[in-house]
Amino acid sequence: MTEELEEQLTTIEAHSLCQLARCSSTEELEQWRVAVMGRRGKLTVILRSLPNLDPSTRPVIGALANQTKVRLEAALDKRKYFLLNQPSDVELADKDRIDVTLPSRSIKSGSHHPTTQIVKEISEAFATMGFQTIEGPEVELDSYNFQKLNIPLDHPARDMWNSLWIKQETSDQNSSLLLRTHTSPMQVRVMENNAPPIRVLVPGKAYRYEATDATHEWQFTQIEGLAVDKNITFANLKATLEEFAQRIFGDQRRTRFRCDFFPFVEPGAEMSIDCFRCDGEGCRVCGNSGWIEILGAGMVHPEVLKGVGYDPGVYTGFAFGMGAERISMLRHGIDDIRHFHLNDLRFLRQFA
Amino acid sequence: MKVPMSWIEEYLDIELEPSDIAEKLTMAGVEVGHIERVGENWDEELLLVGQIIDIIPHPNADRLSLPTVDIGGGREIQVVCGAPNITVGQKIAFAREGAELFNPRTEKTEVLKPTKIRGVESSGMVCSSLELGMGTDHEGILELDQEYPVGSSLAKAFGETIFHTELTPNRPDCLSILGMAYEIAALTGQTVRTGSLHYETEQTPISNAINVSVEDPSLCARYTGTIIRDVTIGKSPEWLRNRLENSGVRSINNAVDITNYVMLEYGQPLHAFDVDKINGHEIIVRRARSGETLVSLDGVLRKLQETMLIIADSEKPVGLAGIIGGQNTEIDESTMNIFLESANFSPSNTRRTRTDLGLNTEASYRFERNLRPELSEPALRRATQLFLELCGGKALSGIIDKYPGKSEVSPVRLTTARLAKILGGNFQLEKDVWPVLESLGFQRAKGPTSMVDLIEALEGSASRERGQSLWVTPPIWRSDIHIEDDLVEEFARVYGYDNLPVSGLSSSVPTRISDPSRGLRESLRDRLVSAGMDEVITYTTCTLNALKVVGSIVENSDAIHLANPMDSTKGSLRTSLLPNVLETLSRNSRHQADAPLKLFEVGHVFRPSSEPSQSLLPSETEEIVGVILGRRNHDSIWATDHDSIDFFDLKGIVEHAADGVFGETSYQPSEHTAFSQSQTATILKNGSPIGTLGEIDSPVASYFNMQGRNIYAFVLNFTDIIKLGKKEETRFIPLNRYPSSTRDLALLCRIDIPAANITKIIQDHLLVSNAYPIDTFIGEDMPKNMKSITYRVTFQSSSKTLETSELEKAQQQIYKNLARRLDIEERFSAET
Repeated sequence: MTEELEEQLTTIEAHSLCQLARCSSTEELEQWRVAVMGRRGKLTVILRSLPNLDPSTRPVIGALANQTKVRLEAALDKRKYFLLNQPSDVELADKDRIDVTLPSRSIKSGSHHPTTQIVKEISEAFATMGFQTIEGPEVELDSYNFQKLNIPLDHPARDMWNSLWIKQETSDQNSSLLLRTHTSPMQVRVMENNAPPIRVLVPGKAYRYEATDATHEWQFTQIEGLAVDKNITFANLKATLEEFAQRIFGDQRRTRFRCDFFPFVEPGAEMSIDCFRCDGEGCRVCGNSGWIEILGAGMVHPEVLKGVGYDPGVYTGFAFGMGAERISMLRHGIDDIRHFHLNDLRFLRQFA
Repeated sequence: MKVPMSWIEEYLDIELEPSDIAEKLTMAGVEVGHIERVGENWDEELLLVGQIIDIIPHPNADRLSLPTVDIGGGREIQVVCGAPNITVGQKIAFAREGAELFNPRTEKTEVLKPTKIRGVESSGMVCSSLELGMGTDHEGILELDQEYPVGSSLAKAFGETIFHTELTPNRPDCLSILGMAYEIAALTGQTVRTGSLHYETEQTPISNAINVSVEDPSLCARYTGTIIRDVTIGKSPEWLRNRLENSGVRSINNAVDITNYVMLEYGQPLHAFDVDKINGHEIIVRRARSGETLVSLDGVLRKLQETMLIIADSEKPVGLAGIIGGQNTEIDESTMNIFLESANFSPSNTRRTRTDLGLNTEASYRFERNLRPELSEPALRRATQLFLELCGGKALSGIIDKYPGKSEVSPVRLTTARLAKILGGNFQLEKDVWPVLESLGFQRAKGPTSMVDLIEALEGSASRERGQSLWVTPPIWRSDIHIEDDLVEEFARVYGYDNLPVSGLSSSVPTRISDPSRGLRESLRDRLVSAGMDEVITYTTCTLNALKVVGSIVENSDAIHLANPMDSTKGSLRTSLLPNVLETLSRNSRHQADAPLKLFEVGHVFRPSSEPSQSLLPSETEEIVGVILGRRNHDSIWATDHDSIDFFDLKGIVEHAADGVFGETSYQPSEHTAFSQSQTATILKNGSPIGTLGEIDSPVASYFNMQGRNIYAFVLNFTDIIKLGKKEETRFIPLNRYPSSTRDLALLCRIDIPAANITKIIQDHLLVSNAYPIDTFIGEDMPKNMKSITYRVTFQSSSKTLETSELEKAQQQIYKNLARRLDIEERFSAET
């Protein structure tokens, strides 16, 4: 009997302390007090039963029960005190709150030059159409820059490309060197070294002996394209370049092709897109015409194909060329091409 | 070229709006850049044709007069006029009050108001062409032809629409009214009207009067001429002057004006000689002889070279063929007899001569664009006709026609198969193509003229493959049609490129072109950017001084130079990117005081090839240069480290870029002109040098206006990196299941022993999985020339858990190796 009661008291104490720890309000504490020490409380029931106990065990159990009661009362007080003095959730949150609008511990990245960016973007647009991007030399022979592109010596078409010539001892015009005036010589180099079918994109620097102003730079970046196979047509040229225009300037863009002349293509063409600023209504960007010239293109001239050993009766191809900075200027509304070589960080970092 | 539309209207009726025609021309490859409208703002009521019926002197001014002008409808107005060239009976342009005129004094358009000039009322004005906004002549009033009815609107009589075309060099035909008329006819579905070239002649044959010989037929395919006797040289009629003025050509006299007029009309340059100034009744077309000179019509003494083609008489040069005439045979007021030349000169020789002389004329511009010899004769006849009409006189019978370059015009074939192959659509020759070519002035040809073509054409299979054929010859004003694809373009451009079919590419997988550089280059760029560097693109040219300062060249001959540089700072091709990148850094450092500046460039560098290469091209390699300057961190609320960037920051960037792209790099102390002695390293990959890294030497920093700044730079030879290849393919290593232990080993070693050597020896131990220095210093208690360096070493076995005794043993072995190989002592070790 005694042992049983002792055990009962231990269980009640342990159990009650457990429950007490879960009490988180004064209401709950009061409920707990009633359940343990109230008139019908678990402990009260035992205390009330003390007089019925055997007198020999009564003092022991009685002392035990009273000690338990004292401990539980102390625990209740402590818990009450804790609950009353505990900081609220709000107070707790305020203590740890941070100002999320403070600047970050930023990871500072640099920036790709805007020319690099547009070249990459255009390369990717053409890559999805099977064009591999390659590069070539910037110093070229007269023969590659002109003659193999159907531009003979002493031809007036040479006036279309004012050249920066390299100082040389030789007077043999065929081996005259110059800074390439366009990336088109790579058409010849690619075809000379590879068998059709060919599909390449050649970005690179080109140079013209020209006065510099807001829209002209003597050094600029050109992007050349070439596709040669057995069944390449002008219809393919139109479709490919239209796809390019929509990828770069938006799905809504319309294209327009007009006849133009480049000695290394026949028929020759120039592609415009309808102005993305005014949707063809006419504005400053398009010079009120509603159209913006984007690139020159055409079907590879049979003489060029013959020159590289391709049979022009079997193989046909199209080629195109555009100014990378010009495309970038249109895309970003840059008003002066000279920014591209001034490399002012205040300009460059706008494109980071 | 300026194309007056009234002139075009002599060949066809213009029904469309000028802007619509201009649009069609532009789309078809003949770009109209600008439409000028003369008389667009002329009020039909206020600007009229008037006739001077009386002139009295101004009572108060000697230089002014008071003409009375009849402006029709019984209206006669007296005005004050200051022009010296008015006479009674003249027809003039009259402005009534209220008309808007250009005031040459204020250079503004102003409304004409009645004024008193020296006490006499004037309510109107006799106009000069400048005041009407149609020319530059303000000296005298504009004298009109008698044919204009008095009182008629000036706008109707004189209004003109002028197309300013921007032509491509393949279309000399569009440098003529005739060519433009055919172009417009084809684009608007009209037919060109042509006039008769007939004129009356004398009995005397021209061969009695002059002898022409062509000594160099390769440079003169054809030489035609006529002689007109008893001409009267004077002012051209108003219509001719007006038309030349509207075409941008100054009127000289009737003879010269006619040659210019026909050049503009036919595209064929002509020249008129005073035949009485030609010696020996002889014209010789030959190359100049050494020492010969000619005073050209512009009054300049020209030294002739033996490459130049000239027109000579029996004694002397009288003209530079196809470029300009000579003063010695110039037409003047006293000229009676004229020899008129219409010839065909070599395009390339004309171009070379005009380049050598620096003399670009309307004639040379056309000849170098290649004219057809067939054009010479009709142009000659047209000009002769005009001479008889406007200068009087009589033409001798017949024409001179030396035609050494005469050849059959080969017809060009166009097949439906080629049309489909190039354009990607099916077109019918008779229905679609021939009407276009016909309206452009092409003629049907008989077809095969040579045996080869004949045999080909007879072969059934060949012709079936080609489909139907059309044989044509181009009109004589077109010199740009040679092959079938030229005809394809003719059809396509008139049909309209925008009306041609569109279809996506569909062909076999294209040939793969081996080029390992692109992927590497792009990855390196991305890595450098992610490391916080900003990419710049500088000019490919540089000054020799700057290249010498950074030690890229020693002699001028180490670089390649331009023959015609843009300016003296752009005279040579860069042999290194370093100078231009440093220059860019310097410029930017002025705007951005202490902020970290990190720039890099990827680009080509050039050197004369050391050995003659097969490609004949100079050595062109690729370089990557990076420079950094300023504080390590941007100012920020979090930044605790405000130190300046140093060597190891840049080394970190190089490793960051290299490790992920082409693999691990190593560094050796080295020397370089551009870099300081104490902080310079050669960057190596697999033991091969690929670049330099270090602190820019202070004199170099000063040269680029960054005195006293600590600049760090790297130069990587990208071409060498490509040769070494990209990072090796990763081989998977099984993950180690056994625990590792880490110990710190403090060492005492000679100050000049590179850490890399120590690291290598420690890492070479089989049980070491990782080892790196965590601290190095030189203490006062240390022996001289010694330093302390502490390594954190991780021991791990791939086959078992290491016992303490094994760790101890490994550590002792490492000490032993270090002592033996580098004479390094142990200071202490500690478990971590």
